[in-house]
Amino acid sequence: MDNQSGQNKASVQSVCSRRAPEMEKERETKEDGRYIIFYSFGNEKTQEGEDD
Amino acid sequence: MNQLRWDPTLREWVAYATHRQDRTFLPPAEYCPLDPTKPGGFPTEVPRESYDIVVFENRFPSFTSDAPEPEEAGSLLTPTAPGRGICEVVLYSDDHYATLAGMSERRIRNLVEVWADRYGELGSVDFVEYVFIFENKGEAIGVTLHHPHGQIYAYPFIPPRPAKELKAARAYRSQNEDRCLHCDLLSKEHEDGRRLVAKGEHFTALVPFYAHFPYEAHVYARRCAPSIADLSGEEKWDLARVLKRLLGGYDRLFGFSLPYMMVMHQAPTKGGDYEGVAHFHVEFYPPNRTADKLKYLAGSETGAGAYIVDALPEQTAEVLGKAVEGASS
Repeated sequence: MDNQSGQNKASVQSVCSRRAPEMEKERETKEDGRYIIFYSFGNEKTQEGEDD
Repeated sequence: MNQLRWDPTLREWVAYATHRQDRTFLPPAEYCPLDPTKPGGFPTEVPRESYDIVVFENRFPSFTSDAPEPEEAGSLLTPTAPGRGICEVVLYSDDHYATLAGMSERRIRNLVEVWADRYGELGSVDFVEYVFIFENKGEAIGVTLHHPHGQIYAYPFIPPRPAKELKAARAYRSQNEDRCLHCDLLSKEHEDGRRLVAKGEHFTALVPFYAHFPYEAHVYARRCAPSIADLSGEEKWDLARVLKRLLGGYDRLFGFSLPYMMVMHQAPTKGGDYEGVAHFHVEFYPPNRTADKLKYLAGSETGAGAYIVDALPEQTAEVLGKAVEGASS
């Protein structure tokens, strides 16, 4: 674990500098009365380099 | 029908939800009710062609917000109560074949934000005492739908296992100069090091000294945050990162997508101050003890509550730690 912690620290700093995602929340009611909430995030389609 | 019956011998509620017998069971992928609704296709639970993350009320809930008084009145010795609560399904992605392990750190971070939002919203409902966020993954666990999803149960009581954990932490705190039990356990694990499997800046994944399953792992906030809603933005990023690393290790462990139960333990949403008592962490219980053998909760575990484990945590942590490193490199 010790050998890894140095690598962790370097990559963690880049993680920590990331902004919190901007979350949008839309609430709807289904035909049977149950609610459904759509969460969307601005970062999903604007950032590159990940595997979505 | 949702009702609760009190078991006075164990002093705990048992929930009955008979309509769940009829729930959808392992439909073929083309008829998955959790996929988006495609033009001309059958209507699924989600009336849109695509989505990021979706939360909806479970069609077959174990608890409902409008549960009526039970027809069975019970007695002073064995009272009954309405099965009042809220059960939600959380869809992680509109990709039917995705898994949490394979998702980007960014998507998991988004999911953490949704989990925190649900904890806050459900916890503010007057009859909700405990928001329990969990995922059952894999047929070995008994899942009925393969689409990547988790669940949330907003209970009208603190369920037995978290209650037992909170009671232990409160007793420890009162006997040890107000120290947090989980902080002290985590400190010991860091000192020892043998059972650590992944370390981030704010979270640590480890096989606990007292693991109940061979490859059980706990992901602990290093700061004593009572709930997921108390995490900072940086802590949430790190939680996503450590979860992804651990899950990558799990999938590398035996060379297949590992079944597991994932549960979150955190502060109840009613009943006072849980600072230094509740310490947010995520627990994983994979049922596999080897690639082709499962750990069953059999006579001793189910009937006596005494777990018998076939491998020492130090041994499994070493194997899992290597799998995590391999998956991360």
